[in-house]
Amino acid sequence: MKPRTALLLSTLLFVATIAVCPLLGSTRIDLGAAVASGFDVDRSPDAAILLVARLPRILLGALVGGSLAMCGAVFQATLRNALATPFTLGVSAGGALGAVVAIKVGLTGVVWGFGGLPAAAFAGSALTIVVVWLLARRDGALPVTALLLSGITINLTLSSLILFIHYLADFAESYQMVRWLMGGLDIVDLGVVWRMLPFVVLGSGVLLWRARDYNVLSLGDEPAAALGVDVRHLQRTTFLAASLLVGAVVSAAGPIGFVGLIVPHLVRLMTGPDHRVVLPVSFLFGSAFLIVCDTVARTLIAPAELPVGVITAMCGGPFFLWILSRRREELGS
Amino acid sequence: MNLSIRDVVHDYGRGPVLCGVSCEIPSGGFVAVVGPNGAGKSTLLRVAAGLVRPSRGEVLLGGRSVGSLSRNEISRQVALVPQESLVMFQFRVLEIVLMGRHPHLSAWQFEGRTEIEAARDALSRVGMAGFEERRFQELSGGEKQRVVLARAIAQTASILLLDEPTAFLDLRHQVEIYDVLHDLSVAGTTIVAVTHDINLAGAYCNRTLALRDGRVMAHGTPQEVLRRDLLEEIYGVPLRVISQPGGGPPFFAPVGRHASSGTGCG
Repeated sequence: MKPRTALLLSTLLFVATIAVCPLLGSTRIDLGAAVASGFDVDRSPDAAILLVARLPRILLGALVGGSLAMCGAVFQATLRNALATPFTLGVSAGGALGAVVAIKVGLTGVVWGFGGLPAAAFAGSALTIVVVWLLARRDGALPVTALLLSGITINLTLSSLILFIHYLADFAESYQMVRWLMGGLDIVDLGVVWRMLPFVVLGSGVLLWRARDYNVLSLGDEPAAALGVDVRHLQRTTFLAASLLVGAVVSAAGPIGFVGLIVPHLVRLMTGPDHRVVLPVSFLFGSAFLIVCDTVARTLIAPAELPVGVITAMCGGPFFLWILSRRREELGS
Repeated sequence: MNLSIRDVVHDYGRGPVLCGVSCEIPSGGFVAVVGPNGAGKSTLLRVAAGLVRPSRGEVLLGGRSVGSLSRNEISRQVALVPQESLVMFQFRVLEIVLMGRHPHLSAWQFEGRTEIEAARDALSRVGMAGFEERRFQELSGGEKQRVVLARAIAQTASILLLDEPTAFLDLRHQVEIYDVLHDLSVAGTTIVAVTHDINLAGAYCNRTLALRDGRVMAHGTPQEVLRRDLLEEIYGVPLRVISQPGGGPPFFAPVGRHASSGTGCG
């Protein structure tokens, strides 16, 4: 598929999802009535549902899905492993630790517009980024093996801590922790979306700028360096930008899995491995994918709502079965 | 562009690999670097490409120290063809060759018609025209090697460093590649090729550098360096010298204990 076609199709898909999915849900809404009321949430229940119950989570889904998909693609390139995910280096585990500590401690309150729970989760992620950096750093470089080992160490250590804190929690706290860890987009406040936007724009901007460098990096560290890529600088910048972006989305939506793993693979199958196409298309496709998953989550067992992380997890198994049934080389190295 | 290697000493931490290597290579020179395994030949190439900073000594590209240049500046002038290529992802041959243009393009510039023409031209020079849409990972070892060479040619660098360029090539492609390298050197590219094939080196190169245990054992024209006594000392194996009737350089063949004596088989 030519780059222009892929970008066009994914943009169309993105726009269509954002336009159509707010209209889908467990409650039927009358778009005409909502428009007629001038989208006044106080007078029109249809407008209220549209703008308060649905639009914020759809926009958040767009930002979260797109960021996770793009970071997944970037980590697969820099960790040189087609099974890498945005969570491989432990950033989401740090966020999860921050979140469960906040729930146990009963952290409320608002800091600079950020709720206590998301702020604690982001702090956890940020601390994890520092620890992984210190563990993996060798001579100013971040070698892949060191990063992977540090990530595994962090994931294991923090998982055990999270288990321990979970054990200490009472029923209500435990329920809250489990639900947070499933990942969900159920917000009603557009403020979350605005606060997340700068992180997403900045983070994805940094990563997109280096798209061709990731292509050349696929040749190997030394050949890439021989072609002018400053591999150390690339690894450091990528690690920081992508990890902060993941930390930001995890703090708002919890660790929603599989988007960062599945979407880059699907995109590469359609467009080829050129990161100048894969990164933007992954963002658009990841956004649409997560929004659709969330729509399914909201409607599958209506009037109850599933957390979106359950739906994305359910996509994981069939996806890999399909991969296995295709040629094995599609998995990369 | 001329390449100066001055008193380079390098130790990876497990013992010295280069022990004071010096060499002046003029612009347009075609140098073969020969020597036994572990002599430091690959390390020397990587030092020359600026990929490894030597413990002591310096490398000058056209008079400028490699240490003072950025990665991008170096890669505009020096192209490296490594021994092996492990490429992640299913890139196609043309995409791989186009990556050779990376040092010359700015951050988000897409390759234009000129770049694509240069890539196709490089592919046809190495005899890989028609392979543009094939997946790199599906190629044979020799085909991959030629594609990587095409990438280096597309880089339009004034210095070309090659590590065993003919390692996986069949007889025809061995000489075809050396013919391409010869044309490049005549056109002004400085070529340094690490090779085990001393006979090809003798036939094509105008200078030879012999290394052993990280030291320069000899440096001069092929006639001066590719001599039986010197080669037997460097490689530690008895050699049979076969002179060519047309008057070309002599052919050296190692003699093994069980190799057939040459008489008998018709």
